[in-house]
Amino acid sequence: MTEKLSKERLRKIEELFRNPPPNSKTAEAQEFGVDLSLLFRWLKLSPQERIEEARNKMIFLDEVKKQGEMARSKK
Amino acid sequence: MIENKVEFVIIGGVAIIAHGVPYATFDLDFCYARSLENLKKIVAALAPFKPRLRGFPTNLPFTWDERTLQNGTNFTLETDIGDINLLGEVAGVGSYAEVFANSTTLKLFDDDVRVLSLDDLIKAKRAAGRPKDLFVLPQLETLQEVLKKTDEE
Repeated sequence: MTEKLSKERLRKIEELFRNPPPNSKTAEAQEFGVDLSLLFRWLKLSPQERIEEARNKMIFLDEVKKQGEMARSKK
Repeated sequence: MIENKVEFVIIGGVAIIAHGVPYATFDLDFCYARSLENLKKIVAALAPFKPRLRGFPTNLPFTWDERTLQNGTNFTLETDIGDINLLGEVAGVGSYAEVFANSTTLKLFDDDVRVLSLDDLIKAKRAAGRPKDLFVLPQLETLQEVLKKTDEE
């Protein structure tokens, strides 16, 4: 798996996520609280894009933390 | 690591992310071949980033060389570019040879990189059994299921 999943495959996966077959792992995960829409959004990305996205999220969290620290230091 | 032609497979959080699960990780985990030649390559590849043992006093003597790597199997390292974990084997999967045998090649940043397969990631997480491992299992198993069900090949 070096590239993005094909549109057709993504369409099939989206259908499985919208209507998880009974007793499937997907149904169990949904019951467990897994956000299937978030999982699907990540599946639309290439492996490299997923890593970049994760890195960006961590930079974002770091920035939120810094802004929080700055706000507290001003009080 | 790639420039130095190190034999490694990416495992852990980055492998989880690459396979398609949104996951937060703050370190990079490698499973590596234990041959002396490979240990020398690892030493050369990471030396510029000043590896030291994570969680140990900074004044504790630590020599970064192949002999040190020969004397252990798993190393949790702190480096100038972040935390790196080197594992000689993966619980639930086996030695580097077994990890490599089933690994997947992914194109990451213009290079072909070996990444632990989704099936082996699930085995490894089950074997590790910590709350953080078990928490990600439903997502990995969902991926495994939908990718198998929609396999076009």
